[in-house]
Amino acid sequence: MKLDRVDKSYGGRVVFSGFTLEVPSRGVTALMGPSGCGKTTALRLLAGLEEPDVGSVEDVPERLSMVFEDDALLPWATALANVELVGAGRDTSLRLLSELGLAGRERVHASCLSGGERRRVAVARALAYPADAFLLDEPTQRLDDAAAHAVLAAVRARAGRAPVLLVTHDAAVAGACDRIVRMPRPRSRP
Amino acid sequence: MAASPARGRRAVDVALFLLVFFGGWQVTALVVGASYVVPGPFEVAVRAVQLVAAVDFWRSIASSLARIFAGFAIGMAAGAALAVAMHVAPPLRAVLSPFVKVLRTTPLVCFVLVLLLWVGNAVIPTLVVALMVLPVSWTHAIEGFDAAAAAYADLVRVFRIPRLRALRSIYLPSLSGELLAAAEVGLGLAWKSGVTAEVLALPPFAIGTGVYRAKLALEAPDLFVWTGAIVLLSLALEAALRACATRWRTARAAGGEGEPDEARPRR
Repeated sequence: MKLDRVDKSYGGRVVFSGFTLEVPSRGVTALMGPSGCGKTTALRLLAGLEEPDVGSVEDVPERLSMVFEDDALLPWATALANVELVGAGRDTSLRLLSELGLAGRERVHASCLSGGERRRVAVARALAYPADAFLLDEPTQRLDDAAAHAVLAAVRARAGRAPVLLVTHDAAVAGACDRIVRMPRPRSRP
Repeated sequence: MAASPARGRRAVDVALFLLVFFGGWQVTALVVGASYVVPGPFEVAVRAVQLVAAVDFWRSIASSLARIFAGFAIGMAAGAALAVAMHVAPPLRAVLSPFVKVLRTTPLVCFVLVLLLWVGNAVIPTLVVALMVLPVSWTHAIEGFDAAAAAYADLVRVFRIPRLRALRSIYLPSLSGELLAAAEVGLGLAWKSGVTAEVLALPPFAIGTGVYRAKLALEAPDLFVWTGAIVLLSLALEAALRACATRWRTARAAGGEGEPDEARPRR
């Protein structure tokens, strides 16, 4: 997957200019950078949720999976229903939730889960989807070390040969990945 | 056990209100001096006891409640169904939205007068209530759909969620809060418009028909009794719906025990 010399602005604020990012076709790549440098924007461009102002998005597989910045869970649905929403079977969904430490919480409504539990449900949903690439925005946010480790293990086990791009602020999480890409500091306004 | 100060204050407020209300009413009746214009509270109370003892009084109330509830249910369902249809087939929205807006702005009396030409007077209140409630239900439902579509657009797009599954799992469940809000607004509207339609259409055994006959016969005490019944029933229905809405919202917000967020230990 590649962002090739991409410019992106929002209402006059330049997020990045001439930015190039190449994600290898295998392995887990961590994307790090200071707040506001465009990490989430880069994921959204690769996912096709945004269009670049200049430049191109290349070699992105048809089927992508994603952990969104804000979970995007259905609050009225249970943890299990949220995972099954993407078409996953019951057994697969239950197994993933169990791997991520959510055994016994499957039937709890998403609105009643803690922040860390919601994050893990979002990760389970992303991993349950049969994708050719994974874009994970802060998948270990709000998690303790043990839960973060479980998430990374599940990502490696499920992603298999598919490329994974993982946004993180955590140096320990980045260190567990195969490669780290650091985004430049955001440009200040003229 | 002594009553709390707040309770005591509330009792005083209620007593003061009743004193002012009934006292003012009695004074007004004495000043006007014509009971066919402003009957006194005692006269109305005597007539209330007589009316309430009559079977036809309760039959009228039951029939009005049935007609108005039927219209309310039809209006709510039709408005929501229309919103679903517009969401599934967006071109319908451009075609049908103007009709809904016309419904919303058309005065109730126009509906009644037109319907009197086409249908029997017994069904007019039900139809009128449905036509008044439909725009309320539709507006809330369509706003709910638009909000859900915006909130979950990325989710549906990235995971390629099929349309039917998105409708069943995302959009319809997200409507429940909006439809409850529509019901809270629509019930009061249904009650007022239903009774008004009864006054105009005069169906058999109806509160509105009782109001009209009392007015025709210059039976002011009867008019006051029917008006009191309308107000009390309206307050009771709105309180019942509010209680149901509170229970539903509380149940939706609860349902599981959340745990504190897991804190990441600092290195």
